Amino acid sequence: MAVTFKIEHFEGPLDLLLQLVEQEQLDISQVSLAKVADQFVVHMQATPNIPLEEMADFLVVAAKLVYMKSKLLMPDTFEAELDEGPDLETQLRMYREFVKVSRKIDSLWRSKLRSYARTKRIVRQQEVKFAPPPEVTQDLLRETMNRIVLRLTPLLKLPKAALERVVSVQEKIKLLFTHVREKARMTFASFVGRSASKTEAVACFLALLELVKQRFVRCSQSELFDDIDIENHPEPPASDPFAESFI
Amino acid sequence: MTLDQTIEAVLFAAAKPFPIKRLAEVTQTQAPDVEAALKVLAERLDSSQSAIMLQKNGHEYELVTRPDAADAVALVVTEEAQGELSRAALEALTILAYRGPMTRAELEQIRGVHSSIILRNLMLRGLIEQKEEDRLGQPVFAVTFEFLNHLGVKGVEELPEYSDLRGHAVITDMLAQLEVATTKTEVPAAEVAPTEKIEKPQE
Repeated sequence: MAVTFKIEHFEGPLDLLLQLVEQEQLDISQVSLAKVADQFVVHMQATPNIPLEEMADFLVVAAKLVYMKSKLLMPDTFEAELDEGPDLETQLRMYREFVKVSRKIDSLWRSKLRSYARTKRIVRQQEVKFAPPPEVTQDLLRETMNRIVLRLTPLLKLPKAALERVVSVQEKIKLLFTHVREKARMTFASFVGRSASKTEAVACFLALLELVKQRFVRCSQSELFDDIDIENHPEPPASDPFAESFI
Repeated sequence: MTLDQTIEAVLFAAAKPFPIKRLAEVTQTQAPDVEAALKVLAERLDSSQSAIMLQKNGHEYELVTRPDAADAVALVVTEEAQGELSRAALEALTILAYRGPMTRAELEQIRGVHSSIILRNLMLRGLIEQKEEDRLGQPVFAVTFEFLNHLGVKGVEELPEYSDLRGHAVITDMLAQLEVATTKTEVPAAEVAPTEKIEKPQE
């Protein structure tokens, strides 16, 4: 899936997403968002100067897109409780409303027609000194300080979770690709190995799917739940198997 | 002299925005009376073809010149040049004008991106201000009279499609969800120990 669009400049993840959907001339829907998920990630990766604090916001949107895409592919395996919070589709629609109206605000802003308020003339130069308003007391200052400290409490307490070392699909693609090229054929069970964790097995399977999709390997299975035979594709594409996948 | 006339005189002489509460104090009346009188004043100024109009921002009011007089007035007053608005600035201002006053978290919910820098820049330019009231312990932000003056409107209600976006059910829903999420996870300050260790990923 080649990226055929060039997005010049964007403000935040929703802006990028909106531009992608509009360039494809699609309506905002689950399907159209899933469709531009890959382009979103590619653009995100190709933009080197995203500030770190914004990067987190981009990753949230990217994660939601990948989630939507997988949900479309396997609708039955998702639980409703995972869909907490406002969905991306609604959020983007709403964002679009504000972007539309902000253009009108911009033309009002550019117009020379404006109002003026009266301004007071400064009568005399005042002496520069520390002059708090008369109602400021020690108690008030303490109370204010307490309020400021309270504000520093994070608004949303993030759940803590220990990160497990996760094997990337990218690594598995590389591994599987070299194995099959050397041995010409192998079985899925032998590739996964005996000691593999569940996540590792999933990563292996995703790697297999990616290589099948890109036509580097071919596979067959004699019956359901049987082992999968993997072999080199007779006419593999000339491209690099690691270039296009972003997972 | 009727109350609306007194208020007109006060606002003219004060030459700055006045909150309803302060107007009630000055005129020794109650807030509802002041609100009614402000309405009378606004209509009177509009129907008498005065070049002055009553501008409203939140609970505050100010007398300003009508935008059609801008060319001549601009020659006699000094103003700071505001320059163009960046897209991010425009976006944040629009959201604050239509949905403000709102907290930074609410603004970010709509923009989908971290917004503290843009808020600070807009405050420096005098286009938004931090209000005294809090919501869920967080400060709220709103557009200023300076912003309204620049657009030449009597209040945010005059902005295009104001009522549609202001009352948009989807937006209200989303912001309500944010509020629920916030109150659910809100913790007393004492529980947040500064010495909490960050758990390291297991190798």
